[in-house]
Amino acid sequence: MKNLIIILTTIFSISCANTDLPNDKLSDLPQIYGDSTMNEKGKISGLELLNILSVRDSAIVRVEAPITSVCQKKGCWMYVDLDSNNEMLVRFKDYGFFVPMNSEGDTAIIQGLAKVDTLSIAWQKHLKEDANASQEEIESITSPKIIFSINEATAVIIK
Amino acid sequence: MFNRIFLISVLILLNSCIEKDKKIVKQLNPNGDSELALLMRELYDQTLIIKSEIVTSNINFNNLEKFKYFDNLLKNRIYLDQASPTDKSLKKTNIYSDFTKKYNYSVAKFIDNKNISKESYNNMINECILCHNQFCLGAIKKIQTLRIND
Repeated sequence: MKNLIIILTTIFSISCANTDLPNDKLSDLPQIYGDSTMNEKGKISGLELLNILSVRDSAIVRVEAPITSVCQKKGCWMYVDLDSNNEMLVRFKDYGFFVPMNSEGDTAIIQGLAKVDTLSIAWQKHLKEDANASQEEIESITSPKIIFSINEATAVIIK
Repeated sequence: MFNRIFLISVLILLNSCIEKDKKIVKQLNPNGDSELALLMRELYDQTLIIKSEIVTSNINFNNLEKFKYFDNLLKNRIYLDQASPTDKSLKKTNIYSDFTKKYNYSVAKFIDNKNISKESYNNMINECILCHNQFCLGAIKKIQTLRIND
């Protein structure tokens, strides 16, 4: 009986110790931005979202996709790839949170209303400015653009 | 006795495993906030309170000097042109500075007028939106929530 208690105490100690990761490992954990209660339950792929948006104009989703670019001024928007031909613009609800500017290449799970949207000329230019694009590239924008977007993401998990 | 200890141990182990699956909840801005971003957030919070006071008609017009949110608004507005911005290019021209002057004037007009009106309040918000239209579109939707609609 004594031995059993010693074994169980040891197992318990080890399991507890493992939950306190050293600082250098903390950055390896997924990071949540925005609504801290968000989880990954029910997440879909970019391709699945495209299929949904081919028959509906919008849908509330949790979608997983790789980050292809992030606002380099403040981290207030990002683009993710839904598939090899389609990207989606993601902005954050109420300007209420931001994502790391070095998140390009990471995987994001985004929660919010995804839709087919029209991006105005002013917004297109603003995004180019935020991405440090050349003046020539900015001035070449002359018409609104149809895009996939989540304009008011309530939370984002980045891993 | 053994069964109980075994059951409790399994539960503890299970719990510790669940704990390991946790994620880190990050602060508002992982990239760090500039002085100007913090100041604007403060102005937003103060203006939201003022909006609520106007909507509910709680303002004591005879005691405006002691109405701390008005005081804060008056004090903070002058730092708009001094605080360090997120985007350093903001101050390369005088455009931003001109916008802050217009905003400051609208704040003064709103507060100095003893007959505080929705119109003068909304004019103040419009000045914010005009400036953001030029420099930072992302915050406009949030600023629009400060407007008092009819």
